[in-house]
Amino acid sequence: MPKIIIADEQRNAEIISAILKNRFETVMVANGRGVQEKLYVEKPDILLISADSQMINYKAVITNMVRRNRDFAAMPVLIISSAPTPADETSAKVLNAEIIQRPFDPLELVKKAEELAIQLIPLKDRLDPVTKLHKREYTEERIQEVFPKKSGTLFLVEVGKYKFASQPASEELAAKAAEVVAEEVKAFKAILGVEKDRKFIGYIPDISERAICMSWGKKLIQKIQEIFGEEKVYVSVGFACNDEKTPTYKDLFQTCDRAISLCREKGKNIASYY
Amino acid sequence: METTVLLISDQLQDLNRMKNWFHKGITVKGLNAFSALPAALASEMPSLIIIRLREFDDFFRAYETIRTNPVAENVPLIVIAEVAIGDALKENVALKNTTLMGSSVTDGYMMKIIDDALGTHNRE
Repeated sequence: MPKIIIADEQRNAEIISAILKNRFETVMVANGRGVQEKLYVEKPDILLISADSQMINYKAVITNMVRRNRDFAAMPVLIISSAPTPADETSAKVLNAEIIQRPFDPLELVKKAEELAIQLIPLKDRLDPVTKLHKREYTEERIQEVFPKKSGTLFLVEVGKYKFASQPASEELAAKAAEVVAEEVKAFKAILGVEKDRKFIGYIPDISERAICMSWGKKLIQKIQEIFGEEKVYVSVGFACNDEKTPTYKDLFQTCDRAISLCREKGKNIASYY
Repeated sequence: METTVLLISDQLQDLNRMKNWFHKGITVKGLNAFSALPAALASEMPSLIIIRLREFDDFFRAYETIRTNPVAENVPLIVIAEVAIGDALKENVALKNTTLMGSSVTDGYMMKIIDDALGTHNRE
């Protein structure tokens, strides 16, 4: 669990701690000296600091104790301010910190802090080593950020090899097919990711036309068939449109999963749109 | 359609007091722990949720449970708390579709707030 220092007046820090404590280990401090002490004792991952408390000179703390200190220079910092001015926002940028306005939506605060926590995970750990696409869990987080704001289409692509073919494809061949699919899906302007077993997930913002999606899916299948033949590897593509029938991401994913299940039932090398 | 209201407090005396605020046509369910909330949201589909808040502990988890549940994301929420807690909440957080009330609120005023939230103005 990432550790976060909350530097604010006690009552405010208690509220922020109560909001974050299910996902972060929280440490509360009420003044600048406390920040300095806890930085060394607790070795936190993130600093959340108030711009409103008279006991904390947040700019001095961030500049002198964090950014100029080799041990903490890269630490994500979140500033909470009740009335951020344009000058404060400029300062935050200079200090390489994010700013959030008080009063804040508690769910937004959690989201913001989690975004900062994700930055702590090295990029190499977030990427699939073969395709260099984001792993599924990080992709789904990004999709869920966009999902409520932008209409679009979720897709799942599955690359597999026929088990009962007269000359079954080797693992290498199937992996190569997956690499070709990865290159093809990268060409599409989508939020993309991959999970194990040669399955891809993506969200195409602003596009929900069935004809466009199906045309792309069929072209992808055709390309794989041309390169690898029809008998060794297959590609199934399922699409689901983000509309009123899918109020949550979970609904959208389940719909898309149904679409790809339909492809499997129909005999693979098929694209299906729900 | 039946109207159901969820009341949440860790003290039974609060739940007993709160139950008096509703007229007969309304189904009132009392929970004395936040942990019972997810199951209650799914089974009761409440039109209003009232929380008697004494400590911040677990409150925000309950808030997240309510506001991320498609059944309850827009359900009116009334939070009753000591003035100091209410002020700290107002200063720090913007709670969606939520009314903050002081713990010394009178029964008559609560009835009015509840009627406004439920749109039920014709008490028996």
